[in-house]
Amino acid sequence: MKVTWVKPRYFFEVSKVLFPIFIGLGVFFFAVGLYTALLTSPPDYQQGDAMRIMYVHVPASWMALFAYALLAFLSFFVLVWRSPLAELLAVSIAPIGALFTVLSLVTGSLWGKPMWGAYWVWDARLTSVLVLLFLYSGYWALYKAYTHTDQGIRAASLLALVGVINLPIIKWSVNWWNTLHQPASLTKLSAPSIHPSMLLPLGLMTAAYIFYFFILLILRARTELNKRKLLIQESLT
Amino acid sequence: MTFDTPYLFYILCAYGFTIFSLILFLGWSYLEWKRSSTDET
Amino acid sequence: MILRELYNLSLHRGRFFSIFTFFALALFCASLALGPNERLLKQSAPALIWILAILTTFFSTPHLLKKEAQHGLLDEILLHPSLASTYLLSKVIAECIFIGFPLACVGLLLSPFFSLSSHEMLSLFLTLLIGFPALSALGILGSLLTLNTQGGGLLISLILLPLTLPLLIFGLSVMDMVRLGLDSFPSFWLLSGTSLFLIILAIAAGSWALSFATEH
Repeated sequence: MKVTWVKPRYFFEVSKVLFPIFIGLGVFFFAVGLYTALLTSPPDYQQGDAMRIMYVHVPASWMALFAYALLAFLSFFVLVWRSPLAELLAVSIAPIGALFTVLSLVTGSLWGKPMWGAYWVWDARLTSVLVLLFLYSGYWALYKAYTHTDQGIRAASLLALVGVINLPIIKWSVNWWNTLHQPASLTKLSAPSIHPSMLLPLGLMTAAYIFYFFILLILRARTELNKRKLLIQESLT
Repeated sequence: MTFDTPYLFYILCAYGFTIFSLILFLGWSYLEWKRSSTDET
Repeated sequence: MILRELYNLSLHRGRFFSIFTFFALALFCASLALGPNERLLKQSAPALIWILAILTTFFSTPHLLKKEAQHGLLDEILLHPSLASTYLLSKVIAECIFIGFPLACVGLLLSPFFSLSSHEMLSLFLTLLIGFPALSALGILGSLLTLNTQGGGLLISLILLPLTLPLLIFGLSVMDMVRLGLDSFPSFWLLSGTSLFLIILAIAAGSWALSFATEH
């Protein structure tokens, strides 16, 4: 059958096999990535050692965006086909995505302090990442506000879809607002072409984050499944 | 990396915060999973 | 349909009083808090009026919809699938006439508080009128999404405020341009376009939300 892969049981059987592999790879990539990022990679010729913050900051931003895209994709499945697996995964993704957004914001401002002289500037990118965090919290708040989870997940999925359609406009308007309000002198970040020696730790850390993401996703989806089983048991007795 | 860089404080903060919160979140999720699976039996 | 909505809204006249009083009172408090500095007041007036208009809309819409849901009207609407978006659209129009227009008028009346020039007043009035349908449509979407929860206006603002950001930015940029004496038409069209897009999006999503808002 074509649709078997969307069945929860199939997913959880596959994830049982993949879970230890992911943990092993995740630990490996974190160890190697942190080692190269902190110790062996050369300092940037412009930014010096502050460049090293980028190795934890950039992958976090990527993961935050990736998680939201995945969330919107799954929300579509929830709304159209009412796929139970998509519900489990979507609910599990939202907190992980919010975590990566927070990480991105915090490490970004820790990089901004020595580079720009302030923890926070009203830069277009920073502002849109903050909006992303608000979208995640809105999703979570709406989901939690319902006493029936199956109603809550559908309302929240609709919100996620509206959010993902709106996101380009928000991003664009913030960009526009930014150029309106401040001259480009402050935030113009000259992006030097990335040297291969810097690409290596960046790639390793990204891989580490991706494995971390999937480890947590499997873990949280299992938790969600257990909770639902429990609810069904309670309603039966 | 040389350890007398002026950015050491910020680098340590960024890496420390990242690793700390990643582990904290993992631990929290693990505990939740454990609780949910023991409740089941 | 629009007439019916207008009639429906006119039944809740008591609520309108509190809506507009809230708006006026909040503006009054804000201008008091800012102090009598004329330049500061002048600069922050459009921002304050806009934000309060958004909040007032989001806090006022859920009550009106909850009443209808209790009377079982939403279930009836669902029996005719083609009606859903028409129903939502007429609701938006009715709200514009009964809440949006007076709200903009209240903003206009109170603008002497902020020592705005007549030109600025007029553009503020216009931006509010253009932005309000989108706010109202978003508010209705929000109240449909939160119909079966206890959250109310606070939850609606929490989930929808990020989505109103483009409106806020473009609306205020019109005001900025007018204040500086520059050509405000580009931002004006941007505002209208965003408003139109948000109305369509909110109504499309709203008629989808209607189908599971009525399940108990």
